[in-house]
Amino acid sequence: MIKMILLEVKDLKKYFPIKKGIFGGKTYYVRAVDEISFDLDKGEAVSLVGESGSGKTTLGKTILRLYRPTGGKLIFDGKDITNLAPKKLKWYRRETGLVQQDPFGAMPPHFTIYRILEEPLIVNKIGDKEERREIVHKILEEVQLPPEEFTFKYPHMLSGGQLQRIAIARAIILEPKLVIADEPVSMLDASVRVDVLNIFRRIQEKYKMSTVYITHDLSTTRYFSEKIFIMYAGHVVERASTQEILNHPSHPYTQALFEAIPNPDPKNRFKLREVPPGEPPSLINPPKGCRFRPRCPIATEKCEREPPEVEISPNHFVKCWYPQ
Amino acid sequence: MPNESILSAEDVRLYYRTRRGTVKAVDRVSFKLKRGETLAIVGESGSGKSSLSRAIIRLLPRNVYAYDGKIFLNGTDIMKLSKEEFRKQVRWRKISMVFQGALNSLNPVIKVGDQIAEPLILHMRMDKNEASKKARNSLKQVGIDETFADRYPFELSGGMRQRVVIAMALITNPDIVILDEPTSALDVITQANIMNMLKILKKEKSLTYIIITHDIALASELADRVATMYAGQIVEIASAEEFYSNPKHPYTQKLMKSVPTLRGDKELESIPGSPPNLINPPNGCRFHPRCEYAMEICSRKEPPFFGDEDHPVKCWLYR
Ligand SMILES: Nc1ncnc2c1ncn2[C@@H]1O[C@H](COP(=O)(O)OP(=O)(O)OP(=O)(O)O)[C@@H](O)[C@H]1O
Ligand SMILES: Nc1ncnc2c1ncn2[C@@H]1O[C@H](COP(=O)(O)OP(=O)(O)OP(=O)(O)O)[C@@H](O)[C@H]1O
Ligand code: SF4
Ligand SMILES: [Mg+2]
Ligand SMILES: [Mg+2]
Repeated sequence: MIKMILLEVKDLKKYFPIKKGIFGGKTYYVRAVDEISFDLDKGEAVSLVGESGSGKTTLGKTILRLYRPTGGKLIFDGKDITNLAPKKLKWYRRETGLVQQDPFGAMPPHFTIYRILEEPLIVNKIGDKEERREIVHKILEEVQLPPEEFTFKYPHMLSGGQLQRIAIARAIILEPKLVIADEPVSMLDASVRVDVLNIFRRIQEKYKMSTVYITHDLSTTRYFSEKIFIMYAGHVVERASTQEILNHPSHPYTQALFEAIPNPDPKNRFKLREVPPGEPPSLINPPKGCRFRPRCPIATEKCEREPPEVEISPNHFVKCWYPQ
Repeated sequence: MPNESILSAEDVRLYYRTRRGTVKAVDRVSFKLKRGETLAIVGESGSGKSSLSRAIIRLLPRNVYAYDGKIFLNGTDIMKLSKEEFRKQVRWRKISMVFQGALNSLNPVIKVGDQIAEPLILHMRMDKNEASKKARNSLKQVGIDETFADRYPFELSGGMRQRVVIAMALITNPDIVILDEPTSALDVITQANIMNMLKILKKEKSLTYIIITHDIALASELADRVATMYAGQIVEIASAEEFYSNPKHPYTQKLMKSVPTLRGDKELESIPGSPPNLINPPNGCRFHPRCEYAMEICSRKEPPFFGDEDHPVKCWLYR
């Protein structure tokens, strides 16, 4: 089978300007996405994993052109969409979907669940009233929320996990070509989580949707994606097939992530966890060289220079001077 | 009296009114909590965990259909207090809460320090300067440099914002803190850092925690006892040691088996059937339609709690 590229991301940058001081203060930039490149094939699912604040949501929203890139290129289905004006992006909105990270804030509070799901169908003139009803009911069943109980409810009447499933339903109801799912199951317990991911995966494969699954939960990535990208402080620091990352994590940050996964053991409460100290760096003034250096257990002077991205085995890339 | 109950709930109910009927989100829940102890409440999405915490701290939505039962705080039934008394004596002062998703609902245009000081000014009628001093201090306690008091939420990482909302819950010096999914939005390293902080704070301030989480592994980082909630009811409570090595309720057992592991090719077991409808919960044991051990009596009669006082299980298997 020939792979077809759906999305090309080239040296993508998104900087947010912020002003310090009220009168004529200097402008600083939060470098939330800093020169990221990758391709996404048609129907491919990748997981994007990384520290809180590393730029995952920003990357997702920039790809969807909810933000205007500061630099780099975005090519979707052969068309350059990097700098298209919002008016010229209508077709792109139709072909893409976003599951927003915070489901509590993402839903219009005065709409019923039915209305929330029907809205994109109406806007895009899909079906008559009866057909739309069928589509809405079907998608609710797919995400395991009984329509008779949920269609009439308002968002504030739903639990966190129920809202997340509505967010997924809304993002895929138009069967888009590209979906960014930003922490779509973070509020679900393990049993429902796997169910919902399986459903999502089934729909994703059925409609050949390319998907970026943003998550901090490494253990579910293998149920969902072919590839994993690990993000740290605005950079992708490691990328490879899901199996390869799970079996041979090579960046010191990726390894620290694995070690921090808790296991169910009642003795845990009597001790403190050993984890890399400190916070991820400020993206206004990131450390010179490798951005993980201040927290890295094996850093040397060399790390004060920016590490290259090396291919340590076929299709396994690590941005580190000392891949493990 | 090291063993006294600081909080005990008896037959607490919280039902919501909706167009299609009554949602029985919390249905006759009872538990006891000792001073300094941490109780974790686990259970699937929609089982009523957040509703139970809202019932304890009495922050209810408008469409309440029923709200009753007894909740004793240091021996006094706080359900008998008027709205005003509850607000003055209990909420924030004795029991406070970190809400699910709170780190994303910080006000984007108000400085972090001012937001932390707000509960003091609002609920404790403290003057502004004093409150602001306290706010800086409480930032330090959650491991954030006090200069961050002058920053806006977007300048903070997710982990730091979560620390800020924890600081807000602690600033009124409560005895009991309810933590509703305190780290579910964060990566595992940040999660571990925050768990470490919660462990240290607990010791320093002799806090009593109720932690609500869907993550059984995470619960073990804090829990002295664990309760499983299913369809609006607690169905099992045990010490952490018992709970993790000898889970008894068939639902708890399934929940344990569904925890994914990183490597290994374990096929994950999900729980068959769909989550119960809380408007018309199943008769008898609410888990019976999904239970592999269900017997004739299970669909007919609601099980009481069986087993000893330290490990009660609401299941006919333990009759
Ligand atoms: N609109 C904005 N203006 C200024 N800074 C921003 C804005 N949005 C995000 N940032 C900053 O950019 C950085 C990356 O944020 P982003 O939300 O993309 O991270 P994330 O990886 O999604 O984190 P999390 O796991 O917590 O969701 C953070 O430092 C954040 O504070
Ligand atoms: N105001 C309300 N009106 C009607 N139903 C409600 C209301 N609030 C919650 N519910 C329903 O009550 C049930 C319990 O919700 P609750 O938020 O307590 O669940 P939860 O266990 O915290 O779930 P999660 O883990 O997904 O956060 C859910 O079925 C929910 O849809
Ligand atoms: S050196 Fe390598 S190991 Fe250390 S911090 Fe950098 S990239 Fe990472
Ligand atoms: Mg994000
Ligand atoms: Mg909840």
